[in-house]
Amino acid sequence: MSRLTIRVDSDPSGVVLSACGELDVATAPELKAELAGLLADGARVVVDLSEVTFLDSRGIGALVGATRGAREAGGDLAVIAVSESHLQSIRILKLDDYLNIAPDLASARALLAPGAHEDATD
Amino acid sequence: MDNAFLAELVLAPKPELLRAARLVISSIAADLGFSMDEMEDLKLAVQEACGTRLSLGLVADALRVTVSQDGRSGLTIRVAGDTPGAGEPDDEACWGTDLARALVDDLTVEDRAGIEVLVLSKSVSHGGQG
Repeated sequence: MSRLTIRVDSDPSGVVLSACGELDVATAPELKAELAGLLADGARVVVDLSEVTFLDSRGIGALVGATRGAREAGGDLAVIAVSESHLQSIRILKLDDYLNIAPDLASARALLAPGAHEDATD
Repeated sequence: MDNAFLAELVLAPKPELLRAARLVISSIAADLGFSMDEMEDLKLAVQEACGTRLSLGLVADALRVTVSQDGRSGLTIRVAGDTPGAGEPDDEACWGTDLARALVDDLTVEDRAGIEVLVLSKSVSHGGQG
């Protein structure tokens, strides 16, 4: 039985993937596969990590890879509810600027809004 | 007491078994007085050390995690596969090593008859439990 469960909620505001459990070398492929399906065709997806209890570099790699793939397809990905210890790992790897990290869903959707990055750098 | 053997865990090369290594490390670290944050750092460092051995193809049959007490309040953890590596590390394998290095006091690499051994060392902070 997997130690990671994934729930996908979709409404007119967008898609939210909620991960629950351990996101690590054993379970990261499940997240990668789920995100690959969701991010096709330039979609914008929010990943909720509030119920992730363990995160290793492979889990972070799954998020980075999905973000890269999303941007190449004209979409994007944001991550919300990242715990302080998980954020520390992301910062150690200097990936906090690459990933869209937001405190909550509303902030994430603002980050993912078309043109949000262009506005931020003007 | 300079370096006293505490435990050795031998795991099949299955990523899902790395959780067992985390549990052993956190249990031993708790007994030695590591703080919660330090235990979390140790668990993640060991996970990364083991995970990189697996992802680099350095484990054919057995991944060994050997834990020793270093002095009164330190742990030394040796993580080794059983086969020499062949491939170049990808980004995530490099991240794993970088992360492990940042979370412990010292990370070194030993060569034991062609087998690469990652050696992690961490001591209890002066703050003790907390």
